[in-house]
Amino acid sequence: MTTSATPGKTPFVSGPALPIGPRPMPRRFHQARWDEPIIFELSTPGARGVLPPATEPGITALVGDPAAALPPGIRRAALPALPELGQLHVVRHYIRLSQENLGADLNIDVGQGTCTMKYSPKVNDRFARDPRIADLHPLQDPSTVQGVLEIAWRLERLLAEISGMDRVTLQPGAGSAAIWANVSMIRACHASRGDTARDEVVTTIFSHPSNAACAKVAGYKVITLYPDADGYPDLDALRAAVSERTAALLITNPEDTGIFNPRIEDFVRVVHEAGGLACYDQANANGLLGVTRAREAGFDLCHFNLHKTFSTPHASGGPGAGACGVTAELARFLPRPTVEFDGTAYRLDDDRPDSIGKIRPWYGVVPNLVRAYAWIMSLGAEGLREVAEIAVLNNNYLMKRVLEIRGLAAPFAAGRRRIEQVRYSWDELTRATGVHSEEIGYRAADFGTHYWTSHHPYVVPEPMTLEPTESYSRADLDEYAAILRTIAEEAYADPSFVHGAPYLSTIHRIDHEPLDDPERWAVTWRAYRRKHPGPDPAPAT
Amino acid sequence: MTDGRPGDARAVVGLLVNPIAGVGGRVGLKGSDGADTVRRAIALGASPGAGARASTAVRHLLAVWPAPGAPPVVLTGPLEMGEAAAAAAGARPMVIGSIAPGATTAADTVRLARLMVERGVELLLFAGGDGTARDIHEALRGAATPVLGIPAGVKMHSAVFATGPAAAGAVAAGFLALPTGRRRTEGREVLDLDEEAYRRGEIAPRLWGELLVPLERRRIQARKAPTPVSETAAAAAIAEEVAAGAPIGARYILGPGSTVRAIAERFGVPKTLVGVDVVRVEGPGAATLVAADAGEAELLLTAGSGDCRIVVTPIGGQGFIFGRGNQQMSPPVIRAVVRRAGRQGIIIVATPAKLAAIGTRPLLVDTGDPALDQELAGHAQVITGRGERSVARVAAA
Repeated sequence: MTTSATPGKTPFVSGPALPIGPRPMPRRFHQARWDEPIIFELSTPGARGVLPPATEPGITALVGDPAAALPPGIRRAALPALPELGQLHVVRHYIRLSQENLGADLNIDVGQGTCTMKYSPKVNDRFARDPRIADLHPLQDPSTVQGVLEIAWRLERLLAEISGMDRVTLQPGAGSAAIWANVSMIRACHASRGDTARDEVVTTIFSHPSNAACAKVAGYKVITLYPDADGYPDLDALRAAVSERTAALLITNPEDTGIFNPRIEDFVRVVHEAGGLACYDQANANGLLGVTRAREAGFDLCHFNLHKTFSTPHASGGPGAGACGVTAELARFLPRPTVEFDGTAYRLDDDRPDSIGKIRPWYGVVPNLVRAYAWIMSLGAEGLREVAEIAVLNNNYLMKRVLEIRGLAAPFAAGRRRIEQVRYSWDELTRATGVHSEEIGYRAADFGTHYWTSHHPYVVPEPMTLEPTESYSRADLDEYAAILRTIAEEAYADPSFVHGAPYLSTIHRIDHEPLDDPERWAVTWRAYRRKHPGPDPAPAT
Repeated sequence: MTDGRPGDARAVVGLLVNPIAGVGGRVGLKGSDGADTVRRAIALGASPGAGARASTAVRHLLAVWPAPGAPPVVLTGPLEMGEAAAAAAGARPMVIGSIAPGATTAADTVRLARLMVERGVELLLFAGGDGTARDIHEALRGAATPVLGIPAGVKMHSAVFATGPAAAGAVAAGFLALPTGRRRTEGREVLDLDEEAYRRGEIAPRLWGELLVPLERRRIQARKAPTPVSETAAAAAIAEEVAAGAPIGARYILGPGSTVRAIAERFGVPKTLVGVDVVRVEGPGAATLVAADAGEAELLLTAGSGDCRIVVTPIGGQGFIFGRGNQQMSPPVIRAVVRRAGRQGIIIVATPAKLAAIGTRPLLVDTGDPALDQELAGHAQVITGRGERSVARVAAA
């Protein structure tokens, strides 16, 4: 038996000869389909997963009903409406659901749009789950949580070094929350100067939409810049946008096209000259670690997504973790409390009269702070820079491979390389075949890979955004490119076949309409039962 | 997946081909209107391509149709006005009406389009250019039948065309495959030049009205996206912003287009869709109509006396803000407004979807006065919603 490939087909596995032939490219895959109900539908009255022992008679004799000793405010008036199941049924339920999913640990997860996650090393979960972390309570006295405060303080110092900023807060529970904190600090800063006429925020169309959204929620008018004819952020447009009403520039760089703004210092200068602050959305920092810093570009504020650049889980929309960095001039506006260290002990400083207040309860999403700290410490400064270099190399390698596929293009900045992601366009393929980007995603599921069209603001037609990060090997990227090539060939040969996809996935098509309809959407069982009344589901047998 | 259609009711699509569309362009005649032009074009060696383009569209429609067992019923004009193209694409068309082969005119387009509307087509696909779009607009007389142009003409300033024949087929399939209650359309402008003047080198395009066109989902709306607001809601948000910033006593010259019309509605005054109207702001969000469908002389009078603004929205598929369908706002009118109010006196409005469709191309001005075009070129703020603006490039056409 030989492992040599047939022409045009490369086996995924190389190495010593095994008694199996070359693998087909792309791999054959079929997802598990359990047709698993919602856990509430599995409820069997009386079933229990845990049976707590009855209170011992001696204790009852001494203290009476222990529940009566609890303050009324924390006692339930009625039993919670939880499903009733045995332990094994619960375990089986969630394992089945996980098999009906394409998790980050299961597939080549480079097609998440700009929300791509890197691999989260499992050892970091051990630290986060260590009882010395997991069993802490946020109401504990700081003297009893010196260790975790030290982790937070040290992580702040690391992120200050990585960004060049003077102070960092780890309180925000997500990237958007960090942007909200930054916008709040911008507003507080101008107010502290008595400068209340500044009611406009400038952003770019390819910056993360959270920038415009947070500014809008904070009461600012938003001016959005479109790219120039070459696809770069338009400096002349910025000049036409700024005035004595400009509060700040909120800008992502590299933008979600993967294009680095070569005039970023000019952008900061123009805004500063107009009296505004410059705020750097560093959610796309993965290709910049150890290479460039917000400080050197002149920014006043910045933020990172710890759940994107620093490997912590995103947790399906939260809680993630965000970090804001600010200059010394803005430090007094940071959310409170801050973590302070006097050389011997750590404390939480809540006495900050100029603070914007709290962004979320307590002090950040501690398990993710622990993971991010562990990740950074395991890499060191050189390792962080290597992360950036591999992420950029992976991205440009994948770009070279996929741009060989018929019908795919990378709009803007033609011929130029990208940093850590690329927003591609299937426009040519769609025009020729009628197959949409979204349908390529459905078909990709048949190969066990995830592909999501998260590409606000839809300026690029038929978008696809790939962000390979440093986590994936060359073989992984080759496999992903081969899948896309196969689907493109299928689209040209038989569009109706791709229209019918997916064929091998758990769920074939979802009707999106109810997801946009407040009368029909439901994110809890209670809401589902209220909005979709009907007979009670039959108890599981 | 389901095809989402109740019972076995099959979608009905009309296909109308202007067989001589585009013949003038290939031989440099800048259009194909008029029998003389067609004869000249054919004498110069032109061959009509509209049929082939229509055929491509139908082939794509059938190829991407989600329920191959129940394709849409294709209703066509006879022979070169649709039948041949549909048959070449593998459809078995139902033919209606009659024509004189080889000698069809605009009147045939109008007559057949009316027949199709009467027969209840759910979408009317037509292959042609601006002239054909204008004929369809005339034929529909305000009927709410959605239409979609298969681009096959010389002039395509109208915004009712798909980006190409295949795209037309794909959009048509996507639209018709939806249950009727979920089909979304938007009004788009029909613009057409006066071809005689165009051949003499004058550009005098006129806005003839709007047609309902399927709202194309070419910008993928994935789940992380917020629900895209409807164009109506987007225009209402723009109107709110314009009204909030309107000083009492100022007069507003309102250009054509449905985005601007929403502003008139916000002010509580009627608005001609294709004309230029003048309103006077009387109070917060309230105005009175000064002049409806005003001509250049009337606008000059308004612009020359006191605080006056112009409100324009990109017209047609190419993003013109001046010089397409709103020539009443002549260079002297624009200059008079800019003299008093500066560049801010020209208020540009556009829905985010429209700006996204224009993409990185600039907004265009073609006032007929090259010096003024140059003055207007550069970057300009565009109101896109309540408290929302964009900065767009403006360039001389």
